[in-house]
Amino acid sequence: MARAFEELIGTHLDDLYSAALCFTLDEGRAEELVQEASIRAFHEYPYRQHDADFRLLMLGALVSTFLQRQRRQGRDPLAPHGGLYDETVRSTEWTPIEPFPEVGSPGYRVLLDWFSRVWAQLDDGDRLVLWLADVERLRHRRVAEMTGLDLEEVRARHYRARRSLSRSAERELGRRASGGAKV
Amino acid sequence: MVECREVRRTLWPADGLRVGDAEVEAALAHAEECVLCSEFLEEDRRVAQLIRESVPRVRAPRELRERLYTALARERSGSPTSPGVRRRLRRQWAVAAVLVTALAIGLAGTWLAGSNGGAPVASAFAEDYLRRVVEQDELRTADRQEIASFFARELGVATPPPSVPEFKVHRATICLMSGRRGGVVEYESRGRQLSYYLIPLEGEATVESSGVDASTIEQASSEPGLSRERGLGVATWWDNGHQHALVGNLPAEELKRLAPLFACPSSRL
Repeated sequence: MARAFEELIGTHLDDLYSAALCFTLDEGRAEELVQEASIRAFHEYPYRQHDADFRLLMLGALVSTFLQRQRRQGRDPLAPHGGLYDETVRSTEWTPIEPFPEVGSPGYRVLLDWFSRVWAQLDDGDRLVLWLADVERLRHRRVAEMTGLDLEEVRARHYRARRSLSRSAERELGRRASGGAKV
Repeated sequence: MVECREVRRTLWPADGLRVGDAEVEAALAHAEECVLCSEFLEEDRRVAQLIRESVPRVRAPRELRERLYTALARERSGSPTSPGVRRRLRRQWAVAAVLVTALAIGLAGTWLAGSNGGAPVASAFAEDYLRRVVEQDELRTADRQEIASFFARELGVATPPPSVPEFKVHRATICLMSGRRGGVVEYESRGRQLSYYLIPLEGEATVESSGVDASTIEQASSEPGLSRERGLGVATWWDNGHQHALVGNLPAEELKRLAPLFACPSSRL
């Protein structure tokens, strides 16, 4: 039997708030976003019978509410940037991180710390796609449905975001190595 | 001959799921042989893992949790202050506004003549306005009818709380129980405290009516207000559309004896 909406949202609230915080980069706006999206999802929930749908339902509501709020203020995080996947790949030339630190090593911890700080520097739309694809592990097709982007654009944004983080990490590791810091 | 670019395009993201068709098979075969492609894919997997691990996981603030549950309870009860209901009512309000304007014009002569016939209407608007602004969640009174009006307004349940021999009502409050908005009536008598919980289950799956289940929770609290010698008694039951509970520093059997007073609405009138 489907569980009560309030019970389900209690289970997912921390994750939803984390997502909202990542989208908005502001605590107050993240709270407003979660509340507005929850009310919206609440009215759709009776039509969904399976608990498994709940997280997707909430994510969908969170994304569409976020986009609506941004667009009302004249900002579109997903405004076309003109790059398809192949063009993006060419424009974000891959340079390997060498050597890639072992999991659990001090260098790995440096990367973790660095990644957590540079999330905020990503383009708003790329950050949104990265969250859905990498944190929520949604398939590109699902991300495309949720955001209204086409599949190629989702791939391009996802690739660009990953590359952007890894290049930034590579530079940070290089800076520390050249500065003598042990990684 | 498959090109590295095509292979990476086919196999990226490296940690993603894909259908194992001929193109993927060929790309995987290439990646096994090509050092650059296998390094690219391996690093992509590691970066993806780093991204997941580096995500700032933040605990939702308690205030957000409380505000959200209150808003959801309001939506569930169909309160006129809820956004969903507001949307539905907006059109009706527009029509009503036209009618009220027409009525106001019609009554203008009476007002100008100094009649006070409009006062009750104005006070009703004022009361409604204040209720929306203040969102009252507590009422200190011994008047059971006043409590009934309070719950009718806040919960849509108009039944007055019963009078309990030897006990006096002194307060009614709104509570949140697992995200559901309910009412609590507090009684007291010579150091004995009794709280009656009424939780409407509107919109929930049908709940069968049940008999009273009473238990004593020993040493439920170290607070001085609760008698640890007697334990904390709790009696719960359901009827059509409501969950009820009696909680107090009374023996469970006494609560069970009192429960029928609360279970039968006719005893309250």
